[in-house]
Amino acid sequence: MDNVVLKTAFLYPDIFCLNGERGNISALCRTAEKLGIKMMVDRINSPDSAINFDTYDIFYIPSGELKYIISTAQALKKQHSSIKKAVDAGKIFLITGTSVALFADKIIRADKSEYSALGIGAFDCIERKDVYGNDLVFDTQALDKYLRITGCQISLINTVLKDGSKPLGEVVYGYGNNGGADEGIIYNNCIFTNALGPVLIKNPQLAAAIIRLALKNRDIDIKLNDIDFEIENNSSIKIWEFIEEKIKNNTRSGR
Amino acid sequence: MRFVTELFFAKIIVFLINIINPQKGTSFPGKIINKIDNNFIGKFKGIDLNKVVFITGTNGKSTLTNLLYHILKKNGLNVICNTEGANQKCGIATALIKNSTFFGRVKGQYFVFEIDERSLYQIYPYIKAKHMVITNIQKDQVQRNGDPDYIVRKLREVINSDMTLYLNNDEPRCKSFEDLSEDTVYFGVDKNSQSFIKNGFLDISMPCPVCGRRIEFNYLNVDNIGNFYCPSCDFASEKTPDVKAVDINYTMDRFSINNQIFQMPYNVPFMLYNYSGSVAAALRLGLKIEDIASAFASFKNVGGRIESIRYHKKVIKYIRIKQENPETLQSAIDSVANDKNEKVFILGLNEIIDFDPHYTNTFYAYDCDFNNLIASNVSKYVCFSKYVCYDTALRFIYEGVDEEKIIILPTKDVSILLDTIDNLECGNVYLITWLKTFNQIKEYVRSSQKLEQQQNG
Repeated sequence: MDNVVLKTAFLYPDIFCLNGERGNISALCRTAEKLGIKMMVDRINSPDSAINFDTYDIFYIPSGELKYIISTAQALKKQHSSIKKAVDAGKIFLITGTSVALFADKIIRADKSEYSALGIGAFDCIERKDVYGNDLVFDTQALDKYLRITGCQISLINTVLKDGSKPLGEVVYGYGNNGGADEGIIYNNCIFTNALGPVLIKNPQLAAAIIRLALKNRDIDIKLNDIDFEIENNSSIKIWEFIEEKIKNNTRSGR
Repeated sequence: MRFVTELFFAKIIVFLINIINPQKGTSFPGKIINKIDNNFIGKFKGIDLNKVVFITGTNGKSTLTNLLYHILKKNGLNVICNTEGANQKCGIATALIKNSTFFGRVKGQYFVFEIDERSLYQIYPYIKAKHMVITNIQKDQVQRNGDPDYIVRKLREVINSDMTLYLNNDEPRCKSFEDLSEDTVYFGVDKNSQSFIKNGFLDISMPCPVCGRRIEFNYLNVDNIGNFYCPSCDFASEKTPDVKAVDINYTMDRFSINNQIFQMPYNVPFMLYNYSGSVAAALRLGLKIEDIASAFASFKNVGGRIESIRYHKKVIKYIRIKQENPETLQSAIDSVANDKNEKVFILGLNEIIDFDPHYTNTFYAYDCDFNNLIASNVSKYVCFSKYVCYDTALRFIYEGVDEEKIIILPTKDVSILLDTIDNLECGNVYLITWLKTFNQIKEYVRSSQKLEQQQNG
C-alpha cells in the first residue's frame, strides 16, 4: 500500500480559513496514513493561478468571508469550464461553511446586492442580517455508508436548493441550510457542508469516506487498515450529552 | 426638565446599586435609563466633542483606553472614562451619570471611552466624537461577530470624514478604514527581537481588504499584525507612520518614539501597539511627548491576565484567555513557551455560553500555533472541561504530542483537576482557561485552605 499516493489541493488558505480549517488538511493526511496510504498536499494560494485539475484527487476549500468569496468567485470564472469539467468527471470537492457560496448560482447580500458565482450545483445563497452559531449534527448516506457528523455552524447565509441539487444529509440538531431538515449539498462528488472548522478532525470517518471515494475514483481496490478513533468518538459522545442537556431544558442554551 | 428628572432618578440608582451590588454599578444604571430615554447620553452639557476619544477594535481596546486615561490624568487633566470596561451604551451612560452635576453638566475636560465595536452605531449618533482609535479587527466571538468583515462593515456605517482616525498601520483591516477620513494618524511598531515570520506549510496569512488576494507580511510583531503589503495591489503599511515604536529593548524594558525614550510597563509584544496608539492620540490632543513618556512608568493595567495561586506545594500560574479569541490564546501559549523548564500545561477550553444558543466551538485553537510550546519541555498536558476536553486533547495530538503525555479530565469539578495537579511530580504548572473556571478554582482553593486551617486548630 505504500506506493498508493493521493493528492489534495488546498485552495486559497490565506484568503479563507476563518475557523481553523487548516486542521482538515492535517486530518486528511493523518487519516490517510492510518489507512495505510500517503496523502500529498499542494497549496493553491491565488485564484488567479490556473489549476491543473487532473493532478489532484481532492480539492478542499475552507470557509471564508462573503466579501472574499465574491471576489474569488469573480476571479475563478476564468477557470469555470475547467472546474465544471472536473466536477462532472467526479473529482472530489470538499467545501465548508460560507464558502459554499463560491459554487452558487447567485449570492444575494443583506443589502440586496446580487452577484453571480460559479453556478455549479443549482442553489442560491442569501446573506442574513444576523449571525447564527450553534452545534450541528447531521446524518448522511451520501458517501456510500451511513455517517453521523458532529460539528459546529457559524452561519451568515441561507442556502436555497433548486431543482437538480440534493442535500448532503438530514439535520439531527442545528440549523443546516436554512433552519429546515436539509444540511449541505451533494452534487456529483462535491460535498458542501455548513459544518465548519476542522470538521474532519472531529469526524475522521468522514475523512476516511472521502479517501475511499478518491481511491474508487482512481479504480484502486486495496484493503485498507482498520482504524479506530476512540478520542474522536468520546468527543462526539460528550457533545451529544451537551446537546441533550440543551434539548432537555427545552431551550437551545441548556441553561 | 425631563432630562434633569431622569438624571436625578439615575443618580439614585447609582447610589443604591453601589450599596446593593457594586459589581453591576458600571452599567446597570445606564441600562435602566437608556430604556426610558434612548437619547439620554446625548443630553449632557459641557462635552467638547474635540476632546472626546472613542477607542474600539477587537483586542487591546481596554488597555489602550486605560493607558490614555492614565496619561491624561498624570498630566493633570480632568478625564471621564469607562475604565472598568463597560463599553456599551449603558456603560457610557453610567460613566456620564457618575461624573456630572444634578443638572447634567459633565465634570470632565477630556472624555476617553472604550467602545464595543458592535455598539458604536448606537453611541455615535448621540456623542459625535472627533477622535476614533481603532486597535485592530480580528477574529473574535464568531457566534456574535460572524467574521471580521462583518465588524468592518458595522464600523464603516459610522466612521466618517468628520473624525480624526487613529489606525494601526500594521493591521490590514484596520488600515483599510483610511479612505473614510482625510485626517488619519497611523501608529505602528518597528521590527524587534521578538518579531517573527510565518512560513510553515499550514501557516495562514489573510486576505487583502482592498483586492481580496493574499497579504504578505515582511515581519509580524503579533499574530496577523506586522509590516505588510499586498503583491496584487498597492495596499500596504505606510513606510513612515506618524507614530512608530522603535529601538525596542525587552531586556531593558524600553522603546522610543520620536527620539523620546519610553519605559515599558509590560514588556510583551502585543502591548507595544497599545503604547504607540495611546501616544498617537495623546500627541494629537496636545500633550508634549516628554510629558506622555513620564506617565508610562507608573501605568498599571486593570485586570491583568497573569495571576498565581498556591495549592498545597504547587504554585499554579494562570493566564487568562477570552474564549473564541485565537489572539489571546496564542499570547498565552507564547508566554508559557518562553519558560523552557519542565512544566505541566493545563488547557481548559470550555463550551461557549456567552450567547444563546450555547455551543461547543473549540476551533479557534486550530488558528493558534503550538510548536514553540511543544518544544518547551512540557512533561504533561492536562485537558479539562465537561464537554470539550476530548476536542482539546485532539488539538495536542494533531500537533504531534504523544497520547501518553495527555491527561483528559471530562469534568467541571475543579477538585478533580487540583487533585490531578497535586499528584503530578512536576511543580511548574501553567493553567490557561477562561476567568469563570479560574474563579471557581480560586474559590475552591480558598475554602479548602480555610478548612485545613480549622482542622489544624
